[in-house]
Amino acid sequence: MLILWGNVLVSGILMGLVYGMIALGLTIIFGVIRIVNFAHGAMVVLGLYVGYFAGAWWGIPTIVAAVSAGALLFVFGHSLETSVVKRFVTRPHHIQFILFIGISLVLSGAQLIAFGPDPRPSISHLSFETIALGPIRLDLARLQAAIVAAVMILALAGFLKYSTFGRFIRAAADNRLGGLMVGLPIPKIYAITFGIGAACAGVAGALISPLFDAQPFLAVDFTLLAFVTVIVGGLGSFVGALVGGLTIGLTEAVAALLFAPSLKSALSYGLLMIVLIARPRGFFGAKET
Amino acid sequence: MINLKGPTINRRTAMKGAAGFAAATMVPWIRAATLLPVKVGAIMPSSGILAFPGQACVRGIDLGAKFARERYGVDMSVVHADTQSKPENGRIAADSLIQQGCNVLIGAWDSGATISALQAAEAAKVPMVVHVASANQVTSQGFTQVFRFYPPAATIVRQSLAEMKALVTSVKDPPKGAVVLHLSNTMGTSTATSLDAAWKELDVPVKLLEYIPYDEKARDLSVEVAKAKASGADALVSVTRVNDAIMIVRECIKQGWNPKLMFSPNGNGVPDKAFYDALGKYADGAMSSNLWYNPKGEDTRTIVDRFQSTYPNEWMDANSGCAFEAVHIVADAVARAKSAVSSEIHAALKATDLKPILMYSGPIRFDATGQNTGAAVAVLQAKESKPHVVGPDGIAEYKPQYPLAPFGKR
Repeated sequence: MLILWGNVLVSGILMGLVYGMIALGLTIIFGVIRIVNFAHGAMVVLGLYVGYFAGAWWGIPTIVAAVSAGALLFVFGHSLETSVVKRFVTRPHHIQFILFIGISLVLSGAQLIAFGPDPRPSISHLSFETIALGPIRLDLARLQAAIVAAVMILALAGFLKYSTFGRFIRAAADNRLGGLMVGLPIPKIYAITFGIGAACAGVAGALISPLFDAQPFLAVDFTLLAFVTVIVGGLGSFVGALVGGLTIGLTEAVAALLFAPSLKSALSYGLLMIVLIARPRGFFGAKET
Repeated sequence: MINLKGPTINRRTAMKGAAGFAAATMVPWIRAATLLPVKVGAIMPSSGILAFPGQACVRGIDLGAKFARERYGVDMSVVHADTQSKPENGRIAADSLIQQGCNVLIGAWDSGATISALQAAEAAKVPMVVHVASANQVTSQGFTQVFRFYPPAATIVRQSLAEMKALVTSVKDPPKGAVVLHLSNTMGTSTATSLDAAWKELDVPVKLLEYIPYDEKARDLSVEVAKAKASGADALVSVTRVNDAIMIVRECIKQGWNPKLMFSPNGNGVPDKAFYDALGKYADGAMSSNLWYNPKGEDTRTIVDRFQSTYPNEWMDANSGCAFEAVHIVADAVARAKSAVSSEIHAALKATDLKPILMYSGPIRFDATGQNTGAAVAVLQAKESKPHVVGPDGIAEYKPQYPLAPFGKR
């Protein structure tokens, strides 16, 4: 029984870190631009396809595919922001919601046309491999995703704290008007931030390709998952995304073990409701002023 | 000046005129005599989480319609509708097809969507041939328009367990305990309930240790498989869709669990190409009992070869096969009814007494509830990345492999 609990908790932690990674892009974009990217899941799925095709067609390792997906999605996100999103930054939230739902539907439709409706399961060796630590088995694909999630957070935190442009981003996140007044290049900052958020979604998508079959219909699931994660962790907080992911991952794992596995989703949404009631800003979200 | 010489009529003009005359006068007669037009609505989950089997069904329907034209002279125009893998969309799809003038419906793969579609079919008095859907409720709710080719979960499970019992009682080292991993949707729950009853009734000599239900949209089955492994079972009985069948095998490999027997009554995975594409050598050995084409049937080779040439990247599986057979049933009824009127097709369907053209089954006859009484399952085992029939003996291609080779030694 102890071994079962050990394996389940480890699995929950790793899955939680994967969830955290999926949510990271969403929280970055909200933290700086203050818009809620409902197309996040569709971007994760784009990364998932990059990971799938890189592995299935050219045998490229997942981690290399993740870098390519990140670069590709950065360009995509940057272009999307400069061509469409920037016109909606100061518009009311409900208009932004509709815009991003539209973008999500367009992206999913394009994926459906381009890749078809069939799920494309990964044929990477990572899909079958584990590392054994005594009786505890660590899923290699999840472990890799978890490590990359931690590295991404550290890299992003370092970039924001120590680089000049990172300081610009933080300043723009703190006070957009103030930034404009002191001459910060706000449009450029927003475009790059949106690109970074999209890149995070792309990297996450490619890294989870050994775990999830690539198919367009996953977009809604990923968007919902990212939302639950960042709302529990706190919108706009990197650490919150990880802690939120861990909380959801562990809740699902423990719920599956203690109750019925089919109740996993119900319990994670139940947790979301409790957090919304008890601590509306999530574990690490900033206080509303 | 009056030109008395009329337009020149050369040989070609005369030939064209003759051909035109023949077309104008004879073609309607030929059509009336040999090609009976009927509009068939096919409701499938062509997109969404069930797109894999849904698309396979669409292929079976389209090929079946071509065969129907050749064999029965039925000019079948098929209108496809997509439920998007949402059960509640069954009724919407059926309503839309009926409004488009469909005289008969085929569908809907998923039991939930089928029941939903049947409500619309019932209201409009349009017969519906259910090619795949195993929940008992499909034929137990008093629908008068339903004609189900597929057996109910209880029948499949009973026949499957009888085959499984025959296997475990014939081997030296039978499994001692089994765990059941099953979907928590309509099909999964219905099958699990039937499994429990049939297990006791048939007195299968393997102890049933635990039932582990899981959500259809589960993204991760690691905990479920960990629970199954911890139960101490050495046989895994599963009721799955393709995606989760793949996830379960992957988790077994990752968690180092090597059941001696992996058997799926009424489940997907083993019959589906995607299972082998995703798992490669690890797919081998898994067994399932499903409706399957009779490898020794008269027309089987012709149909399977034609399917292969039409869809070179796919293979004829249980879904395509059942869809094909459903079209065969409709074509036979239309040909006998000599009418495309729904009520007359309905009457002809009621009187169906048909030898299956492709699938392994007894004669297709529908009882008062609309259930095909001849339905039978074949036992399949994955071998060298293809499903092969290993039971019943009369149609078996190979002897079943037992116990399964541990994943690490493949």
